Amino acid sequence: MVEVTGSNPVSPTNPDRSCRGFMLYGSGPLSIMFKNITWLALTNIRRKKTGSVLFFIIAFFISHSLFLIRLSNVYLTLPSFEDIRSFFYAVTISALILCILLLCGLAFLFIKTRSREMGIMRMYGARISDLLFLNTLEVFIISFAGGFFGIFTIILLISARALYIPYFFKNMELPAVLKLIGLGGQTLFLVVIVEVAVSLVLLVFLLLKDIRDLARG
Amino acid sequence: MGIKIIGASKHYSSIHTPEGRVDALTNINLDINEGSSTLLFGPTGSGKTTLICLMGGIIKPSSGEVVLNGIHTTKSGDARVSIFREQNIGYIPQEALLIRDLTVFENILSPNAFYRGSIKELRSNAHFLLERLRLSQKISCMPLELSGGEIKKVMIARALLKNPRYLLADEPVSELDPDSADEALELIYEYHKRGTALVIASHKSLPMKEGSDLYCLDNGRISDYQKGGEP
Repeated sequence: MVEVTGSNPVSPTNPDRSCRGFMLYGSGPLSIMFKNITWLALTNIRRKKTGSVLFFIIAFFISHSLFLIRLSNVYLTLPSFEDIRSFFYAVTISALILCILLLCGLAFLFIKTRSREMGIMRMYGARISDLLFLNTLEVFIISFAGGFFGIFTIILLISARALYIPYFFKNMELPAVLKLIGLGGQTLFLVVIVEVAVSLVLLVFLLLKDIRDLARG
Repeated sequence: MGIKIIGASKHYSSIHTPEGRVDALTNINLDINEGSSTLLFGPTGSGKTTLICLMGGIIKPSSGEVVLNGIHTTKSGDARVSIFREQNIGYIPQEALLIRDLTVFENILSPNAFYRGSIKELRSNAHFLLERLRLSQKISCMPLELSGGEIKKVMIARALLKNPRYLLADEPVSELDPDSADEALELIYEYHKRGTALVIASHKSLPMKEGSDLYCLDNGRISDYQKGGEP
């Protein structure tokens, strides 16, 4: 038999149960719980590669569509660009709708396959709000990364003049660049909101069913 | 204080029975005191798992009351019961319930991550438990690479990670070979010595500690009860 030793307050090797101050939910700092959940979110993202990559790709394309729509709103305003702008809108809005439909399907599958896992966490005391927070954090990290990468590539294409925006290059000054970055930031915010909202709605829908019974197989 | 079950019944709806429901438990009265040891004994389908789930507040009774340290599961909100479970309950399920995408180590830590204590402390506890259960070599393995017995050991480590006040074990050694079963039970009894109340459900007799309460279940009812210490 292994000898019981140690002084760690939460260690199973410590027989003094009165030391379990950390066990009082809410007694410890919130930042520690946040740190633990962040660790869990990053672990899940790393391990569930397929879901993470698909979410990333969808965020990438949504950010492309949204950013191009916003760019055309700002830089293709002259009447002579009317035809181009209409074509641009048609393509990007179709792509955006397709991406959002794909996102809904993917988020539903992703969450559905995780119902067992959520049931296990519920057995160990995770509240519904904890699960919502964990899921939101995961989707936030992935969509932020995907959206950022998407916007970065568009800006790169514009900088390399592979994507030619006449007005922008005629006024290539610092305010114009800042405006582009500002538009990128707004778009990124929208991408994150769209992805998080879709996954949250579906998760709440799933949690309304009794996940605890799902955990029992 | 403790876990009290007062006249609790649980039924599930079913389209396969004439009554339209299956009575999993009927009129159960049971007390689990802090630091006590209890064996729930009965054949398959007698309601042991349902009773364990009721005790942990994982499911609510259809009628009657389940009181967990003064918290009525039927009247209290989900958050309050969840917090009680998080702070006090360690649960070893009968089925192989591991998260298939996570390693053994992550599986032990992940369900316990929703609390405000340092993850470093949990890590050291996890290492200690894995060493005790002779699973140190499998720390980075995925659940699919484990045998049924090893999965059971991982679930035992996961349940004991936070030194729970109540350990609810549903067939904890059913898939273990005799030596591993003895080791696992020895570890569980060490926790019991330090104050963890044990509730073990089993369809076969187990070497329980002296003074253990014994409840025999049959067809969802307590058919026999033997208080600890009585012959």
